Amino acid sequence: MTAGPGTGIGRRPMPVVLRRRMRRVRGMIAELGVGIGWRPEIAGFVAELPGLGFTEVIAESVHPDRPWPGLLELRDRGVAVVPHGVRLSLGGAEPVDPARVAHLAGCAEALGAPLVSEHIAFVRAGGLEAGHLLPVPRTREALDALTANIRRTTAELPVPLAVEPIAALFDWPDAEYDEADFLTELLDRTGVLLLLDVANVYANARNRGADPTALLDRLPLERIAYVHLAGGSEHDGFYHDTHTDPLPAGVLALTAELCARRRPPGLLLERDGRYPPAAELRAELDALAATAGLPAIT
Amino acid sequence: MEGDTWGISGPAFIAGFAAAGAVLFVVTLALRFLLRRGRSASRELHPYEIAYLIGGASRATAAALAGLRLMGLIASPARGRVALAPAAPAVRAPLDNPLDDALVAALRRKGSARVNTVPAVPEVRQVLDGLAAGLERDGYALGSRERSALRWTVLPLLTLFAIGVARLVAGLSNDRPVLFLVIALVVLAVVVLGLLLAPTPRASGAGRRALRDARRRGESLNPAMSPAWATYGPSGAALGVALYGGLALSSIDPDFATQAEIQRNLAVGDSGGSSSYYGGGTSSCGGGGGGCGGGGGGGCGG
Repeated sequence: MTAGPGTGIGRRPMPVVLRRRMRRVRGMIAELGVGIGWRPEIAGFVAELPGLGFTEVIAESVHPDRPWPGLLELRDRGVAVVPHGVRLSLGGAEPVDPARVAHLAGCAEALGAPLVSEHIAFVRAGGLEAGHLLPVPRTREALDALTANIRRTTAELPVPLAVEPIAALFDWPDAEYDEADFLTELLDRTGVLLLLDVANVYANARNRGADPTALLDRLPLERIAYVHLAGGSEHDGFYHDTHTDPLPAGVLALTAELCARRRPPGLLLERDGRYPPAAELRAELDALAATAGLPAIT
Repeated sequence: MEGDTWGISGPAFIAGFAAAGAVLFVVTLALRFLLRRGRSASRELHPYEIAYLIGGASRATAAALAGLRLMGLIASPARGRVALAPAAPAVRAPLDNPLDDALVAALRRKGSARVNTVPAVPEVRQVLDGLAAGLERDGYALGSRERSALRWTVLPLLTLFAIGVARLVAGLSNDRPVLFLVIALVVLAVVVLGLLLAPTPRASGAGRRALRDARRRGESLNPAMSPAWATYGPSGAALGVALYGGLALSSIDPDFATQAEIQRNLAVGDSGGSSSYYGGGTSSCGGGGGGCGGGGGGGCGG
């Protein structure tokens, strides 16, 4: 069974708007453009971006039966709204919670999303909640568990799924794959899309003294649904992917490297706090669009 | 047995009385609707104008102070007082709105001011009066004539009530049963009192439509969303205070809001609910002469 676009359709009638979106994504990955993560704090700012291509909302913050009115207005304006899960625990050894999968599917339907995304991580094990995203060991066993969970999830989703590798603060000692091989194998097995966090790639490489473009050269870039970008800052010689600072030149440069190889269908700025004046956020979005060779959305 | 009072039988009178009451009630409501409708107006209201429509001069002042505070231009040197911030950035004159300029000029002249007196400081008062006049001229706010006409709309029902009382007195002296008449008079009294005590609105129909629009546009400024005020900027902060009052002020700068006691001194309530569509109610009138603005006192007097 593949989990490509179309899985799960036909079980119940879909809203027309959703079916129209599906046609856009079937076979091809939907063109999303430049976007910024929707947060309640900056909902008014996001709503007033005239050229906004898409936005992303934390799925766990959405009630599918009564989503934030601002999100519905964006949906009705034709802006793609991507539910982004953080609590599914795809990387856990135990099966994903059907209720959480159903919630993600409900978000996708309510928001008319062209796709949803989640993390390659686990957030709970043996009934204990970690409270944050933990990296999965790059072993065959973990890959099997991850594959099974992704298949369970996509079987219930009305739209494609993109998975996002998280920052690896450390490497598990018994790794059987490197990161690129692990991801490629996972995408091949499951047919899902990739959500690449460029700021993460930048931070990992920089803190290890490695070349960030090396990973880009080995990933299946044609499987990228969209990328995340965020600001960060340097403390004690380490670069922190804070999401509360401006985009550094290094992240933009890496984005340019990525776009030179293959421009991802979507580029999304993640800002999670210490929100700057609107003019500064707009300037960041403009810089991002310029780097990707796309029209400004502001 | 004597004849019917005034030559009209009890049942006939009560039927006519009730019918007249119902008709006059409908006519009164229609009259009030027409008086309040205002003219069709269609320009974008400034956040200070929205604040004024909701809560008069004091709320407009609070909205402006919030914007100036976000710009770092003002501070609270002592309880209940505002002043220019010691390290205020150089003011590029003019600011966005004449009210900003007037507030800065007033604070520069006076050094510091008690918050509750700020709306009455001459240069501020002048700008606020101009703002109110503009709202009236463009049909968003009711003029003093419309407001007084609104109060007079109760007259027909009041007259009917007087006739009923006269009939009651006559009926009693005539030893006629009056139970139904008493019930009708009680109902009428409640209606008349309700109309007399209803706050005289500041906003016209057009003004209320503009407020509805502003509320919809300003949903993201609801303090429940923890708005990123730095992103929304001074005009966003002003609109936030206009729509959500003290809650927004506390969310923008809790220390400043507490120290300057803006909520208490400018009678800026917490609610953004429908009640604030209408003038500031009684508290707005209590807070210094400036608080009432043009004709606001009439609404409070009932």
